[in-house]
Amino acid sequence: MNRPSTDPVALFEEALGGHRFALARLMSLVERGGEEARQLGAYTFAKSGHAFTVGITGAPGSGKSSLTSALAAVVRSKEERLSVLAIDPSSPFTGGAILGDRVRMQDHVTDEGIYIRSMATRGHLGGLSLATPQAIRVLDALGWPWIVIETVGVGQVEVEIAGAADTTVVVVNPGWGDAVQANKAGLMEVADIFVINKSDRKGADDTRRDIQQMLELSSLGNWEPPIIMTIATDDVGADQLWESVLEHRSHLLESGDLAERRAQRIQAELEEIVSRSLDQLIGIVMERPEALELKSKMKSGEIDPYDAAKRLIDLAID
Amino acid sequence: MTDAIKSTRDRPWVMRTYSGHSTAKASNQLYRSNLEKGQTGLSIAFDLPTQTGYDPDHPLASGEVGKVGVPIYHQGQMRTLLDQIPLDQMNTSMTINATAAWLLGLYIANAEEQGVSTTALRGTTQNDIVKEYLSRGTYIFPPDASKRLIVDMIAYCSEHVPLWNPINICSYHLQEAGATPVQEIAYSLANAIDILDAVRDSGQVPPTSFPRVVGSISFFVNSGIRFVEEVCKMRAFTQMWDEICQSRYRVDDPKLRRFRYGVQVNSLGLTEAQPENNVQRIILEALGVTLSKNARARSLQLPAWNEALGLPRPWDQQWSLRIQQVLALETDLLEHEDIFDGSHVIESKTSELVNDAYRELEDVLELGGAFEAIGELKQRLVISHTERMRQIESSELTVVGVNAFEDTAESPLGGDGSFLKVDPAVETEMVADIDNWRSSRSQLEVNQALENLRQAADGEENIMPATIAAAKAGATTGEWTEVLRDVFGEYRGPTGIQTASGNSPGLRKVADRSQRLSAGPPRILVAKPGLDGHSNGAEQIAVAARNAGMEVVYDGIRVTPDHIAATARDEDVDVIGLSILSGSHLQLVPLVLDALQDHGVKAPVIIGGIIPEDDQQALIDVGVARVYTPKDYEVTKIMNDVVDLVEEKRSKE
Repeated sequence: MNRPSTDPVALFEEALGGHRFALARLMSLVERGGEEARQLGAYTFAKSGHAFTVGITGAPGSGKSSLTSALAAVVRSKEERLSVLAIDPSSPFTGGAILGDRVRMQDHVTDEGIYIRSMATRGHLGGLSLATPQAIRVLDALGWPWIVIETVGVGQVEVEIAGAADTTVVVVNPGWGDAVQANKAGLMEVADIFVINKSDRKGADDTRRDIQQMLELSSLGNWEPPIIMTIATDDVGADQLWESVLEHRSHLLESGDLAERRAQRIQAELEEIVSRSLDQLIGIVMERPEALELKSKMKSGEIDPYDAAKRLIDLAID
Repeated sequence: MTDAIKSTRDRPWVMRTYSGHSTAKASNQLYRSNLEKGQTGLSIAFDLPTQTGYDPDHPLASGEVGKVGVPIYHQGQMRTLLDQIPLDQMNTSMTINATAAWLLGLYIANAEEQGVSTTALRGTTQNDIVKEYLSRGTYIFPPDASKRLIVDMIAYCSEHVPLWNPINICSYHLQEAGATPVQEIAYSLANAIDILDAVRDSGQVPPTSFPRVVGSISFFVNSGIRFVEEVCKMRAFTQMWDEICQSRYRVDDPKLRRFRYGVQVNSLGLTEAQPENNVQRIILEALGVTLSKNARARSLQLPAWNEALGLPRPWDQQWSLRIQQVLALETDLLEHEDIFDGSHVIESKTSELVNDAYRELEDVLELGGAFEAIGELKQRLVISHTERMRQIESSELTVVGVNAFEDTAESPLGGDGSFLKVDPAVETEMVADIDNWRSSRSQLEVNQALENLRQAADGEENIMPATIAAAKAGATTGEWTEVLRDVFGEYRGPTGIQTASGNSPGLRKVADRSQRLSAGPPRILVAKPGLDGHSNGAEQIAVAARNAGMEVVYDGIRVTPDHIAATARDEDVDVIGLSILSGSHLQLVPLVLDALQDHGVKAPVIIGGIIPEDDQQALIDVGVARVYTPKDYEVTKIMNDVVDLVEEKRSKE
């Protein structure tokens, strides 16, 4: 087998022909960003919009990977293909990361009907990597019908994943109460489906009641999030979870919410791209001779920071 | 020496050598010759397929047959292994865990065949699954099912094999996984408590027999080079176990509360550099567990000086046995009462350990006990181990010949002839043997026996009678395990690597390099092919790579070559790191390289493990980029090498 080329469009065509390494390399290009990623984005944009994305989020150790693995088994039993993006935080100090718990996904590794890719957040706050929407788009354009995005959720992250996925599944464990006390309201807002994993542990029923009450108080919109009890390591409850995902999907389609969500998502992506581009632009402008001159003037007191900033922005817009 | 002094001498401990390799026949000869040399008990090492429940013709067994111990796949091989060894006089220790019930079944079936009553059998099955999850990696079933098998064995032995130690709780491997003395004490006692509570609650043992069950629990402890602290650790263990037996289990007879333990002195601390220094390490470590009479080991096995190089030869093992004999028989050690009684230094260190260990033990019990808290305990051990590695690299811990006094005159020891190599033809022989075995037995009887086993496993019946019956019917190790895998499922242990930090200035510099790479940080896959489950090294590499700014995909233990190749391809990794400690590198690595080629992966492969010098070159010749052995303790250097390899690889794309 020859090594795939680095031209994104050629790689895309190779991947479309079933070349697995080309697919993996496309994901790498997307992660690296830059011109090749942009070209790929342009090429895949019109080809996407067919896949359905499911976000799975929860605290470390809640059993997301086992649950994803169990869910993948259900999807595969229906002879449908599935890809998984497992996203883990990069260390803010070293940039390093321990990626996706592949140890829990081992049953699927040699199954060509599943593609699993681990990604690090690479400095992006909020639990998703900058490349996530783009990676989803590429998988979508390549014809993967189901895309699961797995993220470690703590606080704000759940909100981000809700923006990136069509259906958001929030995983908690029995006795969740104290751990997420402060964020319960936030979870209520993002969860389309609740999963109580490790439900054979004591406190599962209390947790269920607890969530039920919170949901009754918040009553958000016309979809009532179901609460699914699972024991992911024993494949218990995964069927039911998949049924709920399908129900939620039908609900989104019938109510028109899907189009609405996706419109919001692409809007958010646009803002993100603009803000990232502006960041880069600022970096460039700050290194220009004019900027250095302004800085030294500011130091000697000839000009105040507000004035200096205005002139720099004018310079950037030119 | 007068007769009076002689008569007051204590009886020496049981002297063993952990051994077994190649075939049942070869191992039987080895045991008989060891017994002739004055060894007083047997300690059987099994090969990895036997330990993880595969027959030699299973794809995962490839390259592992007869490597780290003796292959026992059916009753015929157990018969050969024990040929002419009088079972009613022998004290046999079997290092077997996930498949312990099966191997005990074979042992019992054999004894009955020889006409030896089960009540005469003495020995130990290691049978400690918690330390397999935490360190050694030969677990198969999930925690609850594993605990049930252990409880069944204890209950069965209590009634039918009363002199047998059905479980040997191991703190040994916890120390190898990085445990501090306090963690070692606390986690192993928590484990013992978990098991005893489960036996008590199972209703299988009448309350009147329960104190004897408590008394049948024995321990297997590590002895490290800080031998004064080790003396205190043993005294702390002894004191705490006595107190726990009394307060938690109401055992009145002090004999049944005695902390009975065997020791293998530390193999982790043995060095590949200047290996002759290991002899003095072994002696000092042996002192740690024999000096204090009140906390003296019941049995002792010493590793050989060259274990970090490869498999020891009979002469290497004899040397270790002679160390024990000199210590027990030539010195005056056994003539005295406890020489530390009244030493305020020893006593204050001991009570410090006791207090800290009680606190840690309470903590584990609050987490739900050792079985429930495996994930948390694993994380704590990885953190401790990372700290230990950092101390060695920064020379805060002195290791003579490794990070101090590295210069050495040329050694007359060592070289490629200084350890044993297992003939790869053993595997072919064993595959033929099992074919032969399967075709010569009554399949009908085997099927019936396995069906009965399934029903016992599915229900609440004790697993032992059906297991012994299956052994007698001629079932194989793989068949017995397959039935239980089917009923109980298979378990994947926690890796503990997510939260360990342990940064060092050296790794920070590598991280800076990683972050400057234009195509993003290096992506590295870390995996263990084959059946070897000693994952401590692989975990440390994963943690170090993360601290060196890399993105790490950790694939864990027992993965096939195809599995590794598919992961490497899908994750588009830059480097693949394989860890192999079982000596099967020459078989496994080419299989992985072939699979990578089939999957179109061109990322360089690096290997870490116990790899003899000749083999290192052989691996480089087949296409491995770098080989690391225990000599390469500088993890910063390894990580810099990885970044070099990534730069080189990416520049070619």
